[in-house]
Amino acid sequence: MWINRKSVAAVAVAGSLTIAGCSAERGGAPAGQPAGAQTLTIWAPAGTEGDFVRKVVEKWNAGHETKFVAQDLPAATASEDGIAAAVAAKSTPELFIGASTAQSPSLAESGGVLNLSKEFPDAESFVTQRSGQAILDNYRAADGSLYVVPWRTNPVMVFHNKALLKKAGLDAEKPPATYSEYLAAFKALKVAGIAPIAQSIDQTWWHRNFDWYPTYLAAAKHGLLSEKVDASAFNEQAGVESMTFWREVFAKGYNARSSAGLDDTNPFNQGKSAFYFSGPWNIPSMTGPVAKQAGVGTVPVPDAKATGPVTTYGDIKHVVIFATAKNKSASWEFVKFYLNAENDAAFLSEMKQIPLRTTLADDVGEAFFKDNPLLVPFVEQTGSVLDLDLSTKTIDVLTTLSTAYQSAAIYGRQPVAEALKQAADQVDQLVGK
Amino acid sequence: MTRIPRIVRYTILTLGGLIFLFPFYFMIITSVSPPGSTGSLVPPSLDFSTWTFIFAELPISWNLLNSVVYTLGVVAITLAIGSITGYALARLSFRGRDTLFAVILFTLALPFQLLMVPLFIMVSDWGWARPGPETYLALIFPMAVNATAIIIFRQFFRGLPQELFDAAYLDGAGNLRILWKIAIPLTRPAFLIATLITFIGPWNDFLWGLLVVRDTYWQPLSVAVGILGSGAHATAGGGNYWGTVTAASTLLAVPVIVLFVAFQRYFVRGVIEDGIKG
Amino acid sequence: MGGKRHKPHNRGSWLYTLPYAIFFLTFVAYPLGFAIYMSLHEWGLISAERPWVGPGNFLTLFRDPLFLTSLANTLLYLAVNLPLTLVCGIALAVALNASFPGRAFFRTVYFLPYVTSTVVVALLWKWMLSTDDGILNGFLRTLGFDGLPWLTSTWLAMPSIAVVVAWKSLGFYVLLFLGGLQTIPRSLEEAAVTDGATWWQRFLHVTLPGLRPAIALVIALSTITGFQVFAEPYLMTGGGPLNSTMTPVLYLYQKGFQSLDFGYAAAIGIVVALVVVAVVLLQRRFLEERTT
Repeated sequence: MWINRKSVAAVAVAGSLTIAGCSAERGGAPAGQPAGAQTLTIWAPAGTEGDFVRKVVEKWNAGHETKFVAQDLPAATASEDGIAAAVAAKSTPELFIGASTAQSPSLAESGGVLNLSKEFPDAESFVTQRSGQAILDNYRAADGSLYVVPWRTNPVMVFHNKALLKKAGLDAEKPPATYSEYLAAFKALKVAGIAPIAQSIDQTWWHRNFDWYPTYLAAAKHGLLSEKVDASAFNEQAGVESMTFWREVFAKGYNARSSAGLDDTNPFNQGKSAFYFSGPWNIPSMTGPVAKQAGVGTVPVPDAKATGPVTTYGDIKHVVIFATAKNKSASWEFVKFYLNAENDAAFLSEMKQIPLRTTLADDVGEAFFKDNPLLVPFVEQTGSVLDLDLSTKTIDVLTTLSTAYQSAAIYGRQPVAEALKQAADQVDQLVGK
Repeated sequence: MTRIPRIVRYTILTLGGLIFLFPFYFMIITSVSPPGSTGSLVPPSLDFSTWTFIFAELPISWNLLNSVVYTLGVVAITLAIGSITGYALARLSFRGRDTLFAVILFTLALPFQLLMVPLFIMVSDWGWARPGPETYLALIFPMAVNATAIIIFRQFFRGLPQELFDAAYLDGAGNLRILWKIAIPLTRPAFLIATLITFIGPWNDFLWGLLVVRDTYWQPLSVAVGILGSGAHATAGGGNYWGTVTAASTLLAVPVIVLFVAFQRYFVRGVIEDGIKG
Repeated sequence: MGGKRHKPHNRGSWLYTLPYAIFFLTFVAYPLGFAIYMSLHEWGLISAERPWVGPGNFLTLFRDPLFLTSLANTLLYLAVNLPLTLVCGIALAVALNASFPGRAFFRTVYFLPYVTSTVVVALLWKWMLSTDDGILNGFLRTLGFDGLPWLTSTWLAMPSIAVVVAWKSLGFYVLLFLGGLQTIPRSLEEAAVTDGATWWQRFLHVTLPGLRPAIALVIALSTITGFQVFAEPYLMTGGGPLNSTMTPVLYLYQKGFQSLDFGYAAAIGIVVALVVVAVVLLQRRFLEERTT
């Protein structure tokens, strides 16, 4: 475990790893495995998530003939960049935990990952049982089959710092909800000399998943592309409204045109800014006084849509089994093990990320949520999240929109309508038949 | 030798020195700053928790060994092949010599990212991209000959006076003997420069190493450190991202700096005192 | 350089190039051929169908505004990076080119960035150049100036990256200049001293002309580096803001590894390589004309 790295645990981990590192054996084969036996490999994001996977792997290895080993991929974007190259080189292992929706249609089309519906008779029923029919239907590929096991969601919401809100004379118990409420709160904070918000302005596509895109979904309640993912659908009122909101935010200087970092390095987590668009994974990043002052609210919606549940971006990740898997059935059995009720509950409590399990709330119990009040709004939010469009061009679409967002919202170089029109033209060309 | 006023010399050097040294000071000091005071120039107290953390997280000894093998392999092959190729280009004449030189220049112009995917497919097909000693082959061979090194060798061999070669030819010495007995001893600085320019490639390589080696125990140190530094969503090092990144960065830089300082005596003599007089 | 070359021993000379030829054919020519093949197809990195498109990718490329932007960005980069590298590199080499106390120390200092990982350098500078909480703007504010948007404005981001790359590679170029200084005959220098030339005059009329080969080499190498800048924008700016730090190789990478359109990415790589060769050849012709 990385997060609650109390000294004893750290020493224990250090000890075991050093011993492993210095013994003559390497290659990561799990201990106690007969020579020559197959080692099945899992890719998982480096860091806390990788550590969690390793723990589950240990549990599995203790009770099964087939042994798995987990390898780290770099966190963030570079991991996805390497996956496709590995698929092309047929250099993939058994499993990948953490495949993004942006990539899943390409992976499905490539033949680089297994068609789960075809390979495993219980695949669809497993997903239905765990996550519900809606999830299963949503992630069917163009050919109707399932290629990914939807794994977890991190709804994007808005953290706020109650102490800072109070300081600016705002009602800390009733955070803003609509555009005008948010803008009013930002204004009050700025007047009080407090930085309202510090979202990253980096142009890499996935940054938009944590600023503009959730507000777009809240306003539009549908994705960026048409139902058949063959035309743009964002050049409409919801697109204009949501981007105009951000334009105001930057034009008034509520969000500095500065390269604010994510998580640990974000000013919000250091108590220096009042709001932060992020997911539940940010909860462990808040340390010191911020952790006690934090509250969670919904993403801003247009004033006219002030009632009803707010939709946001769900940041859903998946587990895939590669076509190169040496032992397909063991890989599938491991997926089911990894996603069982016990491990799902452990994932929620340790990672503060939300497995796509309908019975999750009951599984962990009320007492858990009493101890983790900040998680409650996120778990409730999972009822109304949307994901990225299931198109092989999703990354290109988001890249195009990121440029539009920079141009119209961050730097105010062109009117929002014009930027969106241009982006729509480009996207139509990109995804059009 | 250009004699410049002492005051000018020291002003230039000190000013430059500050600009060059400061980021390293900042890096090292950040790595031992307690969380919460990273980014200050003088931390209120010293905190080595990021260091214990990275040593706990990485199989450092293996990573270091992998980096050494990877780097030595590339340097050795570059020196061996690069020097004879440079020699041929500079002092021998054969059909296609100019074409060959043009080809070598052209390889410099090729972005590695262009060849990366075909190379990855190749080494995977050959079974090199898997944990085990074959990992070293996958790492070393595609990087094995550094074209800049060849150009440097050619430059140095060309700088040698023709009379030396003429005399040796008259004595009946063959090409190989001339290369070994005359050209190489006279161009030691070229070997040093070539070593330097070559070894930073594999030592600091991130892209290629990351692609072909996923196993922690077979990864070069640079890849291990890069993964640690990538933690966008990882609360690495107990909520001290910059502390962890700078500690890992320092760890990667230290062996090279130590090597350079130790090497510097020979290096300086090579370039400055034995330098070729035109 | 002395007279005609004797060529009595050139039988089998090509044998000397055999090892390189084998390496080249296996690890450069073959993958390059593969890349060229890809560039003539609509080559999705992982797609099953890969239709032939002939020169289609290249034709699209020349009308792709983002690719042209990336080339223009590179020119801006070179306009900052080359003069800075030459002026600082020569100044430091001249200052280091003597025996004096502390020389070993300084030489090591200038070499530090060169031997440090690009990833490390990029992350460190990204932090130090941060507009809000970067230490550089911290200094500026202490001195009473406003901070500058080093990496967050369209006009300053690319020059900032050009400076970071110059900072990183200068140590190596200083070394090349030091090597070049060694080739300047001491007699020339001494003659100039006898003539009563000031050190500045000697620098202009003896040192600088003597450094020409080294200058040519440094210009060529930093131009090549300039067209291949990748890690710094990838890690520091993601190519932004508004594509102002988009470089050809970063674009190649994004097209190939993120959009998975490797045919197009390969076309970018090939065109970039040809542009680099053309630019370096032009530079050489220009510089050689002036030397001879």
